[in-house]
Amino acid sequence: MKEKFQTLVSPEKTKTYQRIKNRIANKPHLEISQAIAIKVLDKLDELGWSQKEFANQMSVSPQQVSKIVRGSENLTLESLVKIEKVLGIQLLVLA
Amino acid sequence: MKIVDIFAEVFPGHLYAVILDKDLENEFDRNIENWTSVEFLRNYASVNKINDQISFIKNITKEVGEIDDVMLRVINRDVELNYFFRPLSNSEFLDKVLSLQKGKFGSQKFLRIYAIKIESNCFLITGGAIKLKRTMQEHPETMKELYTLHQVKSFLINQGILDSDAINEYVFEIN
Repeated sequence: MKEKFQTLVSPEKTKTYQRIKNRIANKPHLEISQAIAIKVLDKLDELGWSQKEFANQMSVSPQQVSKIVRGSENLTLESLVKIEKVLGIQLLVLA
Repeated sequence: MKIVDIFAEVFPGHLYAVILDKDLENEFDRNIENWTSVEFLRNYASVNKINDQISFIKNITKEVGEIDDVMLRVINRDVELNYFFRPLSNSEFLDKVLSLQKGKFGSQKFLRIYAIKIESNCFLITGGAIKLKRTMQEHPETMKELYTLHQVKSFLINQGILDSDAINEYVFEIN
């Protein structure tokens, strides 16, 4: 039965294993990335901006904005400061 | 419809997933990508009138983390896939008695991964869903998954891979 089943299987490769490893590696900063995404999305709603508009204001690609609002991106300090400035929100707090 | 071996390079021949549309990912990756997107979860919470969005996102994120940990254990041969897939029983169709579920398993789990069992330790993932406190038949998302499960099962029966009178529908569960 399994041999017959395997004749139906495509040789196409997946990135599943690599993605699992990446998610586990990114776990330490995930909560923060998610909190940033929520804050950004809340502000976009408040401003009535689309993600395209936000990308224009940030001078970045829509793909980069998609990564920000996904909440799993390891953002640089430079990106965080830029988001703060464009949206008028505070993301960074010094201890 | 295509079928791919999602761990072909590290643990071949055990966990497969369907690709339903040529422009889409396989059903395991597609669902995990949704469940790890704040934007997706926020929209989902809004549509389903979940008030505490932050807790909802945290719960889903925690469950995805658990799924990833299990998958790594399976790939490393620490545990078998059979342990985590249970038959899709009537409990998915009837209202669960939540007090019993909570008592035995702790907090409620929201994520469901649906699969067809090909043979022991060999499963074909057909889809996934976030399951709120309803039966499969009451929520449109899980109804769609039920339909896909049956479609894939019919296909495999027609190919002579499954017996028509066997129960092959399974759901992935971490207890």
